[in-house]
Amino acid sequence: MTGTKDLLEVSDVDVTFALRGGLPGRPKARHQALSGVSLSIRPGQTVGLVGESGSGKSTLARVVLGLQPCDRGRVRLHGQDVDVARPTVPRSFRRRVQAVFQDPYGSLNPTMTVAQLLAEPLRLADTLSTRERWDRVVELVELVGLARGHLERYPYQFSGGQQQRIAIARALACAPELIVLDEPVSALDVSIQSQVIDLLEQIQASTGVSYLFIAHDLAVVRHISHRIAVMYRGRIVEEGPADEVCDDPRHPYTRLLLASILDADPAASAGRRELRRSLARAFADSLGSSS
Amino acid sequence: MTVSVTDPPGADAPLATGSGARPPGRGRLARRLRAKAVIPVAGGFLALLVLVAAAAPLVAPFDPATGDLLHPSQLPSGAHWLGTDSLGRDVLSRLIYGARVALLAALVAVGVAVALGLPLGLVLGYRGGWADRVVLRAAEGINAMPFLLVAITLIAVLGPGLFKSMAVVGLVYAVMVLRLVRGEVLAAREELYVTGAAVTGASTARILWRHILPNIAPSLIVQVTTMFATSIVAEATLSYLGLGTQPPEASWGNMLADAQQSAFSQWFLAVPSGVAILVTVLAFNLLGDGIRDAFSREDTGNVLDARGATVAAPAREQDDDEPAPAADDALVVVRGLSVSFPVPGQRGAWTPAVTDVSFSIGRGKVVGLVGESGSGKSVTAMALAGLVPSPGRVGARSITFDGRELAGADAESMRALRAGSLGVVFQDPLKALNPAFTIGTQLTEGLRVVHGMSTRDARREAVEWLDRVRIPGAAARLRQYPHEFSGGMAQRVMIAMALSSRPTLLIADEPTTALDVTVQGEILDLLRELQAESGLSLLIITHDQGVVADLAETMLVMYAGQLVESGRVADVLGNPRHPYTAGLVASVPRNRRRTGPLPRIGGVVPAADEWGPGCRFRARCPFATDECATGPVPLRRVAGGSSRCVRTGEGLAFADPAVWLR
Amino acid sequence: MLSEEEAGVLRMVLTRISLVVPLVVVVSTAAYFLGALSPVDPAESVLGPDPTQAQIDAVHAQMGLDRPITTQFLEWASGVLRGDLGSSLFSHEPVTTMLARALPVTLSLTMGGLVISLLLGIPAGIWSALRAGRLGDRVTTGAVTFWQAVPNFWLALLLILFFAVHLGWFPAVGYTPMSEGLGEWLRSIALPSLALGMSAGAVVARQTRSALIGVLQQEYVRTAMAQGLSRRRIVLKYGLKNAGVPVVTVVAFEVAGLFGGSIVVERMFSMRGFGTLAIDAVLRRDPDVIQGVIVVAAAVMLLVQLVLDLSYAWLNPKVRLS
Repeated sequence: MTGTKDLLEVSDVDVTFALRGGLPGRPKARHQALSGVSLSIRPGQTVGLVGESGSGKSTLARVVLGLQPCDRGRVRLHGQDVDVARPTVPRSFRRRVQAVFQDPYGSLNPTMTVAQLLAEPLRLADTLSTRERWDRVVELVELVGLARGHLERYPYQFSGGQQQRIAIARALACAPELIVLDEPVSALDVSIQSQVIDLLEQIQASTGVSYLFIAHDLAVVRHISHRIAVMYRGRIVEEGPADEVCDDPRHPYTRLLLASILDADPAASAGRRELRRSLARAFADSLGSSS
Repeated sequence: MTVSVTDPPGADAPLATGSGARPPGRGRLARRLRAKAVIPVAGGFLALLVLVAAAAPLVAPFDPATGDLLHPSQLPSGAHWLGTDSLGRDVLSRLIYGARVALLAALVAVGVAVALGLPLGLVLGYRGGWADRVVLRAAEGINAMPFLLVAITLIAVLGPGLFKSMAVVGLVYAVMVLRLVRGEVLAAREELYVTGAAVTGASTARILWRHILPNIAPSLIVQVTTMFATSIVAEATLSYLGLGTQPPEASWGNMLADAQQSAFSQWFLAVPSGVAILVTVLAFNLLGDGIRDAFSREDTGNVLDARGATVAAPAREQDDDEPAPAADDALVVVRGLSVSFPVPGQRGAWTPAVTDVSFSIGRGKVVGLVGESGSGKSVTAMALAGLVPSPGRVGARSITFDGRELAGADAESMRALRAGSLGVVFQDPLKALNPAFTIGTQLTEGLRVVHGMSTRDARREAVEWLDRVRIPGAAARLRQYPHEFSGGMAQRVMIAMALSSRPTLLIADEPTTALDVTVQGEILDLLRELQAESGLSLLIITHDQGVVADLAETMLVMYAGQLVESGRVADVLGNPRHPYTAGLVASVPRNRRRTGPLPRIGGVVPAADEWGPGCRFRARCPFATDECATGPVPLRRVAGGSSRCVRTGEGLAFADPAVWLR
Repeated sequence: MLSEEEAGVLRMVLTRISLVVPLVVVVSTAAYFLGALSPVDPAESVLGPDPTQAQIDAVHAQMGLDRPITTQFLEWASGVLRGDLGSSLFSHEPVTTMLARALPVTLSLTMGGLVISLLLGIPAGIWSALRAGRLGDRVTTGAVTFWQAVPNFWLALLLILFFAVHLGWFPAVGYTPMSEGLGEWLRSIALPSLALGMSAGAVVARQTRSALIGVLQQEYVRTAMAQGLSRRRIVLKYGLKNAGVPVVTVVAFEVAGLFGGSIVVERMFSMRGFGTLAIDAVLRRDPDVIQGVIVVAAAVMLLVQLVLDLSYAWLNPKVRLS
């Protein structure tokens, strides 16, 4: 899986957190958030990351974004090591790797206008003149399907879907090579979700940006991803091309996840339930035997 | 001397703490500040005070230090409006000069406090680390000591005097400012927009200056106004004790000391300086309160005062078909339910959330109520249970439950209904359970209080219920607290709680939305089993079509406060009779090989003031015609259900994905 | 073997003690050395105006002030460890005796103020929280805002003028210890406690209201309603316990404030408590007395903090495990 063609490569990463509590003098309990996680993303590719709570997918997102130091392992961008032992990463990395988060309103500073929000990454990059910055801001806001008139407004004046568009526009400002999307549509209404997913696809088609698309909804991930990685309790348990993973899963957990998807098809319900129950049993057994 | 503390996060002061509270953008801010009358009034008074104090030499009628020893301790008269003190000095003049002292003193104290506390608090709160821990402990220790004692000790070193003592006060306040700022920064640091800024490459300085500070500013401003107030009292106290302003300079505090000396001979002397302190402090406090209220979060309403539905007149604009005559065994029949909420800030204005909804729930049947945000589905269910928070208004032509008419029922009857025949399961079990009480207490509460069981019997019943919802080790679990349960387990507890009173109807409001997908299936299985066992009716509210398909027999689809389609689940999902339902069905991603872009519904859900007279979906509907905008669209009966669309009968393929790809 | 919960509580208590004891040490040390920088010379208070240098030196030698400051401090510190807090430079009375005489006064006023603030503040807060936004709430909140702005020593003066001087129901000056009669003691602390309690009560009322309103908007209140529990039960049993933490926090804060407030109010009533002791000692520079006051005040505050921590643990079970 490794190769110099990779845009981003995560190799064998471990992350542990110390837990609060315990008496003074006794060693604190530790929680293993990630163990031996390896992942690679190519240019123009969407890698979907699926997992439930406690799977470590958000921690992995933070590692890729350079926000979380690792105890072990390496992260490489275009073949060059990124020092993830320290909490800060170089500006050049920042420009190439951006993020969109789950809570659209929470990710936008309520005291800044849309124009200010979009201009900030450009300001920090400091490569454009004021005029050029403004042009780029207008370009961005129209790229995500909003209007010029929206630039002077504040985030609270927009709907959730529109706020997420603003967040996407901001992520695109400096033409990054990779965007990490952490549950970008989970907080949106179903009818809006598909709008945002389509927008993301259009952007990828026109700019060639890569995505690390993190979600708990396997159907959504399947639609947008080229490859899928499934996480459980800090490990990647299955990884491969999206259709392969979803049509012919190998790991019991992946099978359980797939069977748990509730398709809006009442006729198949009963059969699916039975399948899910037997898979849940099989998975629980597999855990018991390996621990 | 009491020093004020910022109110804890609650209805009044949720400033920049956690993602629930948002300070408004600038435009809204100015409007909000103007809207609160108390701000300009208090602010105006203080501005006037500052002017008077600054112009003291011009305004005061007499020299505050020179006394007419021939006329000491006089009551107010024409010559001396507020009388004279024991040394014959004019009280009014001394009061005016005292104002100068008070305001200057407050400025010094607050200035020192903010200059020292703000930067330290910002840096320590953001950076953390050992420096933060050490300074925090020290700060807590200093704050724990009585303020006055600390001040006195420090003044002992510096010697008495106004500016020195106020600098000391400022030092102690700096510690408070530091703790406050640090706390706010700690909370703001966790906000997503700060993470976003870090990802964009902003430096720590920029994050603190542009992202954190503007968002914690409102809270700080409130604290600063309060600090002005307490500084004035502090100065007065220290001067009274002889440690602040030294005589013969006039300060409201040492005027009170004089007044105490003359207490037995001239009582009026006690009044002016005290009133001056009172009024000034009041003005600062009111200003602070006003600013805080201007920034506070919209009130989520009070569910304790929730009332049931009132009987509404049949104001039917549209001529809905009567839903299929409810079978004789219908448990719940709702006719013409409407719910509206008052518009904040505008008297007499109401926003409708639900308009004229009618449906029925058969005995032992499972009904799914589906919709997105703004559809009014949750509000409808809460209206049924009498749990719409006040000041919401609920009206219906009729709501019958098991033959009884609920429209017009009082709060006590609704309470009895909930205690016995109605159970509710909410979305987020970890929030819906009380963190300060054990599961056992909460489970048995209903049984003991409402059904009069003894504690022992109730506990036994509770264990049985926990077993029935498949929680292992039930007996031990009774003594645990909600935070010791996982989401799935906690939801099982909630189901047990709701079912323990053996209701005939269970309302489940998004019961699996907050849970992991593998747990979701288990909870739905559980609900299905329990429902089949006991024959209760189940109303399940959800946005997830998969959940409805899995659990329900019939479903109701709501959009923008109206019922737009109903029918058997297989029919509605397989062959939708309303464009909205069709769009929803087409746009949900399935576990299938990708064939092209996702079909989607364009546009957004309209707000209540955008509904207009016609169909509320017309702005987003690919099948809309002019007819759709002219007037209210009635709900028409169709085979096996109903649909609110003028084009239903035309045989159009609403669900054709191609339609939704444009 | 301790359960996880018990371990958590023990850890909390140990942490609190381990923090405050060094803090008291640091504060006492700092105060001692800072005090040495004071411009006030105790010798002058003894000698009167215009003393000669020789006289001053003689008095210094007599008071032991001619030795290096570190020596003086170590002597004091070793005394403390033996339970001897030194004695006043002026009256030569042991500091422990002076403190023992002053403590009941200050404690009576502080506790009296606390009782009144709770009796007035908590019911008022609950009452207005339940009527939030309506007339009853507005009136109560107005009253609370007003009383919060009234300076406690001014209120004391007004109370003296009216109830003591004019009506004669209560004594205007002086403290009567409990040993001389419970009724007399209550009469002597009634007015000062009221003066202290009113503004503290206003703060408590405000905090109680705010905390309770916050609690009543939580989802678990809706669950309790869905169970069919009565409004009264929900508020009294659940609401109060959940609102407990912020209320207890402000009460602990107020105890420190009342302690400080008692210093001023006792002056109004010419009572000889900690305040008089401290202020006289500061103005004349009586180092052992100042130190004694600080150490005892810190000890009292530590106790209050400890009680606070324990009540947090009872009110908020999550704290026990963290």
